[in-house]
Amino acid sequence: MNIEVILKIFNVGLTHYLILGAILFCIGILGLIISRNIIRVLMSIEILLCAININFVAFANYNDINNLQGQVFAIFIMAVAAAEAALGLAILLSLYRNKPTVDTEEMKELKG
Amino acid sequence: MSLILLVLLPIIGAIIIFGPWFPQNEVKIRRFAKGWAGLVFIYSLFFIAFFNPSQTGFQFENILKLPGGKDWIAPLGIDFAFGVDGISITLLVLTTFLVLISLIASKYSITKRHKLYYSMIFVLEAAILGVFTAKDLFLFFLFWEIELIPMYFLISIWGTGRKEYSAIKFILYTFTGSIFMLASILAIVFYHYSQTGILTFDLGVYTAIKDYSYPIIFSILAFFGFFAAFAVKLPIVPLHTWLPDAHVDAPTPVSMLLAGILLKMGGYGLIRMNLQILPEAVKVLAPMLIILGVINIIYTACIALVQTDLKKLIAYSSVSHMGIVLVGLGALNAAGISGAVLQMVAHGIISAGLFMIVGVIYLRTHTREIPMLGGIGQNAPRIMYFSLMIVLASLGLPLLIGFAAETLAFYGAFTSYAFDGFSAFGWYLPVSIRILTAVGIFGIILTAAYLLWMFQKVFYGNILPRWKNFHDATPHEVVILLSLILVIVVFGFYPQGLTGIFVPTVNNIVNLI
Amino acid sequence: MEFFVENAGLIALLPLWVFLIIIFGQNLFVYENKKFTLWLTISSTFIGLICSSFILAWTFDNTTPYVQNFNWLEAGNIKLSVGIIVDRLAAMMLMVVTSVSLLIQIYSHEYMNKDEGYHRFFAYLNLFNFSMLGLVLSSNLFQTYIFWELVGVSSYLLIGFWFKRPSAAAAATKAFIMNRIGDCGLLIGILMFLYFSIGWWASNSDIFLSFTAMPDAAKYVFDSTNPFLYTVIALLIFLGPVAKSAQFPLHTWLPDAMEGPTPISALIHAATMVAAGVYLIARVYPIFELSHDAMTVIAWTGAITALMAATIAITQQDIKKALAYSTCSQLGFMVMAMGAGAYTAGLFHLMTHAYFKAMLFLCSGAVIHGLNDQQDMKYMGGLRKHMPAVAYTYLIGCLAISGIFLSGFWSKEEIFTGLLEHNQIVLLVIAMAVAGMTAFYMFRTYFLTFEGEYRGHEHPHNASKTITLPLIILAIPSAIIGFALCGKFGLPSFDAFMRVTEETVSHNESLLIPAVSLIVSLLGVGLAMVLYVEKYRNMLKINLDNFIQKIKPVYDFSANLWYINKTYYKFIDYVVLPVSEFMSAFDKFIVDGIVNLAALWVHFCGWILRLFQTGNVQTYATILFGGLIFLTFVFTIYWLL
Repeated sequence: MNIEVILKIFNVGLTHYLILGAILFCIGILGLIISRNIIRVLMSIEILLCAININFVAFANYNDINNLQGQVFAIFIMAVAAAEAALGLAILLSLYRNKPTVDTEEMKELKG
Repeated sequence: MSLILLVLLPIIGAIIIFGPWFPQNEVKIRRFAKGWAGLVFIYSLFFIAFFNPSQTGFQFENILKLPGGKDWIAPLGIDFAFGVDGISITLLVLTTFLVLISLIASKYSITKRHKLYYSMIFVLEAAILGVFTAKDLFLFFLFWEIELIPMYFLISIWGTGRKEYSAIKFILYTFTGSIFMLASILAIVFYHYSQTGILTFDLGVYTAIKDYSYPIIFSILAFFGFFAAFAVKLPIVPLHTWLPDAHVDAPTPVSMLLAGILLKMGGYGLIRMNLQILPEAVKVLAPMLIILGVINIIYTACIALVQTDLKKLIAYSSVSHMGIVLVGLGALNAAGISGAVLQMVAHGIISAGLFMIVGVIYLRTHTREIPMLGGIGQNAPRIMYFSLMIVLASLGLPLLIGFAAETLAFYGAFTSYAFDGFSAFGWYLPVSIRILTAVGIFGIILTAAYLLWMFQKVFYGNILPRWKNFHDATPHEVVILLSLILVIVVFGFYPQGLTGIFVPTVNNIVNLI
Repeated sequence: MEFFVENAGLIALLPLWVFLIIIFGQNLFVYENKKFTLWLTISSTFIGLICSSFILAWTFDNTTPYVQNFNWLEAGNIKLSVGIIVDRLAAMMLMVVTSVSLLIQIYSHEYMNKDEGYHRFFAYLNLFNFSMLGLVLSSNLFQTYIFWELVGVSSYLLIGFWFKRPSAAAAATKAFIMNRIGDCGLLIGILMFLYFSIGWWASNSDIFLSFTAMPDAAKYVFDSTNPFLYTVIALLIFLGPVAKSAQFPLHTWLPDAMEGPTPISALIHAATMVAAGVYLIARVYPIFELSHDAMTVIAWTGAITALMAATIAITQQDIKKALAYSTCSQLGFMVMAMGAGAYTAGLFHLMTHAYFKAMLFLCSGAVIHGLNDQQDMKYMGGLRKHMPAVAYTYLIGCLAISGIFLSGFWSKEEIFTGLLEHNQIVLLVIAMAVAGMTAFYMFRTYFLTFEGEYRGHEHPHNASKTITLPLIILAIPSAIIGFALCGKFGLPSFDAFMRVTEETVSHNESLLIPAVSLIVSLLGVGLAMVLYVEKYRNMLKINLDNFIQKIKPVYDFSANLWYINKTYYKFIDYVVLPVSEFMSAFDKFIVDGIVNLAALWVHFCGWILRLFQTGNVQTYATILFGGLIFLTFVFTIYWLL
């Protein structure tokens, strides 16, 4: 049993990957909006970026297999994700030092 | 003889005073300010001396060009142009005179932050002089807006009572009006551009006879645009409620300037913009002007009758007297408009005097409530006699300056032929306008009533024990009041001195309408 | 003699300069010498008197008036001038004003000597002189209005002379405001007249509203408007004299004006200023003549005033108030005469009244001064023994005003004759009745003050020479001037003197009118004697108090001044002030409220927008993604269609 056989049995096409990307995107958004814990928010952001990566690679694979633009861009996104995660964690640490909490409901200085 | 120099002199004075090189010594600042204001006043007198009354159009024209001979803002056709005619020059001298007087009066009322105060007064003076001398619509608007800023500072820092509220109210109210004025200015300019292909903001072009005439709807809309700004300034009921607050909460010298000159900017604007640039609209809307004028007179006189705050009473009396200006303007004939201009000058001097008196009383008693004051005349006869002269002038007593103005304005409104061409209303309109003018004349009874009631309550009667230490006028105050009274009496006996300056201009304006 | 006529303006200007000298003298370099002020004033008035007599002599020969003008204000189609007119009417008024003024100034020296405001008094007196003489010499209606207001101001200043007294201050304000009501009417009338005649003035006369051209101008206006409008104009112009000459209904300021010093009451409110109204009626007579309705209103106003004031004077306890109401009544007589068409009779009565009323007031002033400022007649009596000169001059004045042989008799007779000639029988009856009442109340005051026993607590002392001399001098014209100018028995005729342009109308020479008026007056005197002289009262066993109790409602109605004053105050308190309060509240809450509402609206919108700013990042993220999804949706739909 190899990958190609499995893929042929289930008739896996572009749509399936896009749906997967969409579901992951929704999970990420939902997690971003609902989470009360900042770390959870950051993780949801990572999920978002992953979902986007899947989209890019899927398009790259199923439209023209010799065109690597999608896959290269996915690597860009990963680099940016890493940087942004670092930045987000740094901000989180600053916030934690000022107010010893990671609750988003507590961070309302800009209210009004 | 450069008008630009006249407008720039106060700004230079302001910069000199406000700069860090000027000592913080209150006396030195004051003396320098008074001297500088005197200098500006004498310079403006030169303009009158060399003014030729019979020459119509703008005189002493002065245009500043950028290096290379280009206009100031060439793509829009805006020039840095100044010019005066009969009406502006009278108001010009009134401005410089009143600024000098109010600076002399600032000695006792202003106790903190002198540098800022005197420099703000000079910036204000420059802005007002700019309004009266601007020969370019954009420049007019620019100076119109500039005068708001020093006013805000002057009222909110050195005022009393709800000063911040009054200052903000004054600015926002005037500003809202001027937005409509900007719209009208642009409308006129671009209409001119569409008709002649020339984009220009020059006032001389717009006030002269034009080759085209505005369609009536356009003219009326533009009229209302300008009217909104000037109605707030003049003020015209119901857009007047900023005035009691601003006048009452401002310090005495600022009140004198506010009532003396700033209100005249509205009247001046009405003459320049509404009467000269938009004759078609004003011929249709002149009855409205007279109706609003009469409402001004009667309504605010009735309100003044029941005021207990002395300064508020005088503020409402200011609005009432400006109603006479409006009635004169609505007449659209030479007598009426001359009466309006004369009333502007007369009221400037008289209300400066009235506010000075309130300031004198407030300085000694720290109250403005009429029931609290009483019998002051017993201890301070000189103040009483000066106040009597100014109150009588405000009443419109003949041989004092207010009378000729009132008579001319009412006579003009009465004999106006502006409404005889209204076929839509038949003969109802001229008759009702005349009846309305008669109602306006009825206002002189109300004026006498509230002014004399105020005078009686404040000065007559037995002096109350708490005012035992009310001392008489200091030489300082005597100088101010006496100079104002001198102007009142001299021009009361001989109004030709004033009217000779602007009557030819007015005749010219009327001919063009 | 032409010199005096050409420079007649000097007569009016001299007092103005004296006024300025006194004012500046007191304030710049304070001088104490009262004599200096006195002599300045007296000399200026005396010079005026001399000039006036020369002018009067000039007018004997010249009937055309002398006019001189110069431009005062010019704008557009209006040209207002000031100038002087010298004709017989002006000359007569000049004589009256300067002579009465001079005597009152001499009198005032003694009366006001102890007062701290001596110089101020004489300064105001000079200001009044200037205003009144300017009024008399005015050549056009507009200039008359200018001086009309100035006279009002002088009156205000003089009534409120003792301003520390609240009642005096209130009286001054009241006088000015009531006069203002009249001025307002006068101004509207002038403007209306000018409006209708502006074309005529522009083409026919260089001086607008000049009196010499008035008859023609009036005819022109009459022809060009409907009669109702013309009557309105005439009545509006009449409103001025109604206020100034204290006619009903604008008369209530005159009794209150008695708060001023007595010389002022004599000068202004008896002899001159209140006569200004009658003078104006004389000057604008051409306008009134053309409107029959206006003349009727004028005549009846005069009649009602005369009647009303006479009935009120009967019950007054204050001697000055009684004299004030008697002035009011006599002014009613004058106005009634002029309204009925007896133009010269009214003016004749003006002249005689000026002299005897001034004298009566000065006598009462002497009495008050002698009794240490006691004005209530309850506390007087029997003063004839203490002040004989005053008493006898007062008697002469009473006889004059009652129309018993002295000057008042002749002038009243002219009025009655004039009323009869113009067929005003009802007015004649009213006038006769008022004449009877006049005799009654005037002699009532005489008996109460000078006869009987002294009822007061003070020590009355006789008046000094400075006070009695003017009284005696005034007694002379009071006694004889009526007789001297009556025109009968070969004496010069005032009537003929005044009627320059009309033909002299021969008078009814019957003795009916004089006889009836004499009888009525004597009846009045008799009644007063019976009621108020104790000898006769006891003889006839009349109890005055019982009598008053029986007619209490009528008595109260009279004593309370017909409740007119109270009505006016009620009107102000219940109508004028509440309306103004309403307007003030309207302005403060509604008009200003709209402005504050605008500010409130901005505030409110800001509050709503602030609800979106939760400070919570996730809220922002929600909105962000929501918008994104919405946009995607929209574009998808767009792409599908």
